[in-house]
Amino acid sequence: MHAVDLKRGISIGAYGGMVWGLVVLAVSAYLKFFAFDFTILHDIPIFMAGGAGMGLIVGAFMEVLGERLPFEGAVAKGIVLSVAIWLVFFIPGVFLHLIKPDRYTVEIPLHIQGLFLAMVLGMIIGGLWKKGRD
Amino acid sequence: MNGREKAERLGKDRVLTAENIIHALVLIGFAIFMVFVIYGLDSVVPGIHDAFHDFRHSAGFLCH
Ligand SMILES: [Zn+2]
Repeated sequence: MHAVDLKRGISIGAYGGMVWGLVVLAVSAYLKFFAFDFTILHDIPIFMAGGAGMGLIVGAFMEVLGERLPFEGAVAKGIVLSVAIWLVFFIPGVFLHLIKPDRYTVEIPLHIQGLFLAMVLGMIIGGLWKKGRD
Repeated sequence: MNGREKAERLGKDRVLTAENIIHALVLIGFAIFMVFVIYGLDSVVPGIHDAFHDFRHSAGFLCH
């Protein structure tokens, strides 16, 4: 048991999230499930900022809940938390879709891509976490 | 370690330092930021929704 140090969780998460944002951009540009509004160059800072936001939240939960999770290893914990947080943001969208089907549309390949990328975010943050501990 | 010592230790470890409170606020700020990124809410802060459009689709969240 160690003292909760949110700063560490937030920093590792934000840093890992920025790296993840670039992975998201690369994977999405490669798979081309939808047409980008902007050029890849324009999207680099956007994806890094969005990634940092997601990563920071995952990192903070790693810090606060990590030791209590019944999973072995930082990577497994990271994946579980990252997918859980992705779902927290995803599920309200499903309800919005049910209310306003024209405004919020379901696009299965993209949701699978996002879920897969959420796991990748957990791996990146878990990996950095492990490195930080050693 | 008896129960009381254990409780005291836990209390110490879980103490809310000023620094932790500031970081918790940063965290809440970013959580709100992500709601804007993912759900738009253009009527509140115009532009964020459109700027993050490609990211929102790429990360698998629902959009138009
Ligand atoms: Zn869209």
